[in-house]
Amino acid sequence: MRFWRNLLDGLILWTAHFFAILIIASLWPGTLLARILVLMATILALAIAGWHSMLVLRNMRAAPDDFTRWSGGLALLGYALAGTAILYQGLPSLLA
Amino acid sequence: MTSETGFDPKLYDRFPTAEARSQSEVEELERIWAAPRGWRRLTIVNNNYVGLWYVATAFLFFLLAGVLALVIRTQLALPLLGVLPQETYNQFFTMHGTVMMFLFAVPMMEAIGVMLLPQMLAARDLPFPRLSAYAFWAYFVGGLCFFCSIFVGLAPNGGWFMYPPLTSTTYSPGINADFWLLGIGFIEISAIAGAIEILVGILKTRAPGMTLARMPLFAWAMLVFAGMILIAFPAVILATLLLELERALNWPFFDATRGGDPMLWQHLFWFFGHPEVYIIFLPAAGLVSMMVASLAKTELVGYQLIVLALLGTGFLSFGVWAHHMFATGMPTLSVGFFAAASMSVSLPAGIQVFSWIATLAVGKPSYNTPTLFVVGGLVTFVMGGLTGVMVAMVPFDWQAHDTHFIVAHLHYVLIGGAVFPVFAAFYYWSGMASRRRLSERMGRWVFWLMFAGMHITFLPMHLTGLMGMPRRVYTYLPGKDWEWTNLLSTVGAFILAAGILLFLIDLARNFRFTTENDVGNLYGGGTLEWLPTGLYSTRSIPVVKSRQPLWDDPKLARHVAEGRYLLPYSATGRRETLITSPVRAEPQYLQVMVGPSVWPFLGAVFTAGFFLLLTVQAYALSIACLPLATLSILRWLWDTDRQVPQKEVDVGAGIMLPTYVTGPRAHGWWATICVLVVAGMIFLMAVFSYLFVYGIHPSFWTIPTDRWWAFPVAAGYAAGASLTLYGRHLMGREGASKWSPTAALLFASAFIIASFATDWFTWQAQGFDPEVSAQGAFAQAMLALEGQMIAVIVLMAGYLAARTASGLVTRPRNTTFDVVSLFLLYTAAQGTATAILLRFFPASG
Amino acid sequence: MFEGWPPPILDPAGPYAGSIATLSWILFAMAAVVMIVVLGALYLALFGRRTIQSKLGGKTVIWLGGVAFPAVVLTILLVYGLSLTRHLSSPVNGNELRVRITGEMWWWRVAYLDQRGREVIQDANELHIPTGRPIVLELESADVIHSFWVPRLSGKLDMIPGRRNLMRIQADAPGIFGGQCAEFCGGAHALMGFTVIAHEPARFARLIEARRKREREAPADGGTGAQLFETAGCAACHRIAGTGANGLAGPDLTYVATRRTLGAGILPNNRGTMIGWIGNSQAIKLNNKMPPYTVLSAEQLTELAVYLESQK
Repeated sequence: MRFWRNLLDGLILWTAHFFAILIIASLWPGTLLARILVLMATILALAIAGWHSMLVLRNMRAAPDDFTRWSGGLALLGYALAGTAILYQGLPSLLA
Repeated sequence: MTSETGFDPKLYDRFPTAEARSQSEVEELERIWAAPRGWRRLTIVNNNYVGLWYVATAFLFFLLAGVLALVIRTQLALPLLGVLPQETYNQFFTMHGTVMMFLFAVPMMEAIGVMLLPQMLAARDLPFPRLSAYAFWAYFVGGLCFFCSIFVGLAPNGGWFMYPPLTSTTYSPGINADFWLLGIGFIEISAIAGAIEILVGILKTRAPGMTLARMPLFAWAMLVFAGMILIAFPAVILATLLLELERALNWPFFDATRGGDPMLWQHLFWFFGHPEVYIIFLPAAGLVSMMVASLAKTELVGYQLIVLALLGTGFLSFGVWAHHMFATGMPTLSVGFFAAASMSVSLPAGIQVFSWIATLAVGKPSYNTPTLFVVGGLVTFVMGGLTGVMVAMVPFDWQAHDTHFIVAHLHYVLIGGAVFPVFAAFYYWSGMASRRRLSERMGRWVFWLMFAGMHITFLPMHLTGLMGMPRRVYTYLPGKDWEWTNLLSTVGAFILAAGILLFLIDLARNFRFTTENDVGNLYGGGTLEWLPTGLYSTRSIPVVKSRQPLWDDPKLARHVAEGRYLLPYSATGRRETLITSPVRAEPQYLQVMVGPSVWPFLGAVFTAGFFLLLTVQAYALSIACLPLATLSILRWLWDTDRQVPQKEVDVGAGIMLPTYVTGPRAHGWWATICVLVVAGMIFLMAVFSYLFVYGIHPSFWTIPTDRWWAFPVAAGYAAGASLTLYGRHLMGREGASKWSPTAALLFASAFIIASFATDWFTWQAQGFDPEVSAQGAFAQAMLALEGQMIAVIVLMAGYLAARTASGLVTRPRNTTFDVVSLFLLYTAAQGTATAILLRFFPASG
Repeated sequence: MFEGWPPPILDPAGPYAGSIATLSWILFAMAAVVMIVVLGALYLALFGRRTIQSKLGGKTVIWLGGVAFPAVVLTILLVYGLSLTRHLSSPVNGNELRVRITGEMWWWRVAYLDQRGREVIQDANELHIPTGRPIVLELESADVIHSFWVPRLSGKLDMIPGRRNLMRIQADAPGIFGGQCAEFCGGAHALMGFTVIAHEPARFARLIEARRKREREAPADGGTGAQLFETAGCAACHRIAGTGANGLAGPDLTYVATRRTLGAGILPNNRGTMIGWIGNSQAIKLNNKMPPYTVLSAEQLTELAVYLESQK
């Protein structure tokens, strides 16, 4: 299980962020509070993504074999994609 | 090298083995895997046959739904034509969409998976062959009966999306809608069965050494596909269940006048419906990734990026469902989230497209039919993707939504992203199943006719939409300038059909099914499905060292056929396959498989009978089918989970593997977890629905009295769960008697059933009438969901007792026992959550 | 009715549809550019010179073409799209002219509201608006989900049972704008049209004033046609202000003679079509709720049609 968690952490983070902001927007529809909370959630999620990516990168340097390096690289790419998506997700709080 | 399971990778170096093997081993394999003949063919469970039947049936539905489309296009060729009257047209377009999505696209991908995956992974068969047979027959019988509803004018007519209140009893009093709800609800069960089979097959039956980094991309795609089905399909299963309950029992889940909400359906339906599009696209993309590499005769550029794209799409596609609902007046902030997710989900698609282009640039693709279909599909898909980005822009979607622009967009995506790749795959992989190759000359004609027809049909249709023509209209008035584009579209549709007709002629002339003397690797593929095979798959199971083993080791095919790799014989004298670990594919144990049986077939027929007879309101017959279906399924299961005398066997070169394991290493454990994920998702969706409707119409809800009943109920469930754990503890103890672990589980079931009964009766005493308010209806539905689990528990308890009595519950571990205890624990958890939810939400008025 | 050319989505008549038309053109340009890039890359990959092919055949191309390029395009579009969405759905002031439009199977009930939100003028299938100012439409449904769409004035918005959606439209110049139900609503969904007529503000004010007056006072005696309207059963479903006809199931006929179309946008409004519609509307629009009146003679149908011609 730990392998899968490491591999998918970025995308799981995206999922958590997406549904969190969706719930925020539904609980306080049309308010400034919702926008602020969404923005905070986005910054938090991006911070986690950045911090975890650093950890993954450090682990990759110490990887014992090709496969571990490969799956570490995949996890890192997952964070990159999730980070972009989270960033997009945060934009509506400023623009929409 | 690190190891996942403690298996020493150095053992791989023993292969290929040096000594020659005897021919009698092959004869034994042939005898063990021989397929029944004559009428007994119905008992076949082997993937070579079931896979082909599955593909053929899915293709049949493609043709049937295609014919519907041709009639639709004929009706729309000119204004006010009378080819299809209003009501018939509404049935035709509903059936076209429903059949294409539920009976062609998803089953076709599962079918190709069942057919190709075991060979690609060098497994002897999928891990649950009888489940594949059941899934196939359920789909075959159920699908054909469902389709026949159109011949008697009873086909569903509310659109494939079935929005209530149009589909509620008030506005759709006939049984047309019930055909959709029960027929499709049932076919979804078959799809889930197939997905579990595929998921476990990919994770547990890969050839040794085929780590996740060396897995063929089709397998990656199918892994994500199966995972997505487990998460997405429960939403639509719950939705169909609720709507059918509303129709049959007048429980107002979607009725706004009694506190329900029609938007709930849309959320549930599209939570399934949009991932569904990617569920169809991803396997096709996996096929393309594999074909592109072979056709260009080079390694795929960016394997890792494509895996990222597949995984990323699998996740992000769950954040886009409401982009089908931009015009429903949702709050702008939420709309923004869905627009943003719709943008980010385009990124993985871009990665795949450019990876294919880069691979084509590196290699030397030759001009042949599969290449044409792959390139044509790519171009078409990109165009569909671009209109997709357009409609992800909310204001543009307000104009384009529900017009023919969308019809054009979705056909570009689905034909370019799925149909063309599937046709490429037909040509590319037909060598595996046919004695003769398909005609290359005709193939090119097929492609150019289909490609031209597709674009002539759907390119002008964008303009039709921009000119203001809505979707789902049976006709239109003259004088709106819609005639020309519509006429052009109709002409294109017939050109497309001509291409498909030519393909059928080619099939009839050249396709000759075989499992042994196939024409083989026509396009020089480098993956394991091109090893020489029989019904038992490959003679021996190779050790995989790269992504294209056949290219990297030219002697591999010969060595495999000579039995120089793992399992060159039957170690136990039965059907068997190698089970490996999910990440690094290290050998874990030898799975002994069950063989042909008529019970999956009968089980499927009776299950289909139950649902279909229910639809046509033949209640007595329908109810009669239920125990028959249950008995058939239990009878098939009875043969499974048996131990063989050999506790450990030599799978080749002195590598000893056990023949029976339990817990997370076992394939049965994984399948059980998958089933529980589905159950959990259905429950989660029900909780969401409950809270959603409460949030929309709180004024219809009241606070229950006697809320303290939640505590004794929860305590009862907790006692059941503890007893279950105690039973598992007893299982491993030497001194415990034969019956004591089973007895613990039986007592646990009794506690759980009693808790449910308490919950049920104390809730009924509250007096929430399910026909009066959405609160009553939802509470009753949540209890009914738990009741379903209770019914399963009762069956399982009886089954476990019967197996214990027959001495089949082996000590110190047993898969059946594991499965039952996992179900008990889950049911107790769901029951506790239900009791608390109903009594403590709403918390205040 | 509106005509298909030029495409109404790209031929806006007011600011709300106008900004979407601008967006559409930008999107088309984006699609064209991306398509050229992809097709160009594909062409070079398949037929280009070996040197170009080897440049194309690496991971860098995926990063540039498949990641960076789309990311830039998508980010720009997303920022633009979100701002436009916000602009188009910014809150209403509250002092706009309000009209409640209710979707029914398969026609539209129209009610003009006064400042206090009371329905003061009833009509059906046609909406009169003044030019140059936003109008707020309260969209509701009486049965199933419909979707209100007049492409030259605005995007579409659904009418959902149990909910009220607000939509703004505005026309800059006088004109007639067609629309049609966009959400599949069963049976005759294809035949559910709508017309918006924009007038100069002064002319619109006169029209509303005349109608408010008409709602208050009884009309002149309608003769045999009026009697027939009550005895044949028309009055059970249709209302004509100031007469005994008070039915609410069907479209209000107080101003039926002013309408441009019959049957919700499907027939021109003249005596012939009116006679045909009353005689057997089922032959024209199957499953609509109005029963066929084949029992009425040709003379009776004509009298009814003549009576209705005077309702304006």
